[in-house]
Amino acid sequence: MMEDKFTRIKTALYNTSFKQLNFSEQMKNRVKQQIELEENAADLNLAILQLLVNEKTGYELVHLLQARGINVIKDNEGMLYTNLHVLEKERLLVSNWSQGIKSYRLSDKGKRVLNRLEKEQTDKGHPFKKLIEG
Amino acid sequence: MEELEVGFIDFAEKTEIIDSMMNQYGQELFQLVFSYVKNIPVAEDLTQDIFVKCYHSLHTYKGKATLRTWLWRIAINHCKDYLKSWYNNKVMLTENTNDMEHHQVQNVEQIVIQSDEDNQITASVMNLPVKYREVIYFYYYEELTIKDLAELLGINHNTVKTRLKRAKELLKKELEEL
Repeated sequence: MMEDKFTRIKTALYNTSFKQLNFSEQMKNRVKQQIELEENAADLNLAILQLLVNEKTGYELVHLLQARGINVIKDNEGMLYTNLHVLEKERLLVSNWSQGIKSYRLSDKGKRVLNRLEKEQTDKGHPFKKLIEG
Repeated sequence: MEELEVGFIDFAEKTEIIDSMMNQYGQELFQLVFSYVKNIPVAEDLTQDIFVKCYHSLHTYKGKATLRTWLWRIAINHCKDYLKSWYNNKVMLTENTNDMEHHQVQNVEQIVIQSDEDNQITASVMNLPVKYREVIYFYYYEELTIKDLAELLGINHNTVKTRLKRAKELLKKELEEL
């Protein structure tokens, strides 16, 4: 009698809670969007670090990034400033105000991270996954 | 079910792999996650996170386990981390236990056709503490062997047996009281 109930677990779960669960196309798309977003952010961050080995203003960065074909910021320059802010907060960049214009360059930590990322990239032959390990 | 294979990886290929993994394993993974967190919106979020995480970890897949088992392991760890942080944050405990009832009420039509027995069994399984619930889930729902279960959960063969025995005792007690 009790064994019957155990063997019924599969059917029971299937008929009750699991019936309401549907891994929908919408969920799949959200995963794909998230991945794309993270890949773009990673590409952008790597390019920012590479360009900031020498000090540059945000304005200069926008042009240089576009010249490199980093298109994510094309219609969204705000994204660049968000990333700069995050990178600065993670102490990968240091900033400097001069005559009302803010410029950025790599910190020592930023240089180490850039080295590691570039090494990883050549090692694996594909772009790194995550710039700042959470 | 045919197993997916992963060899070399670049962005396009990785996306494709995740895509087929979602098609092949998405539904069962969603159920697995739900069996841990017992809450549909949370299970949705975590399932999505797990596939993103899996995308980022694809290069670490060495082919020792099947891709499905590898994915399950990532999922189990992710769910347990969530539960741990969730308990640590001392979020309302009561919310969790009531979720089953709450979600069951959502679809009246279903309730009508469900037998009471199924509801009782499900509720009893879902009320088990995680370490007993997971062995019941993988043993009875996914029909894993004790050996596979031990490997999946990274615990000893005998521990699986002991937990399974204890889980059945707990279930029995609860189902008999009804």
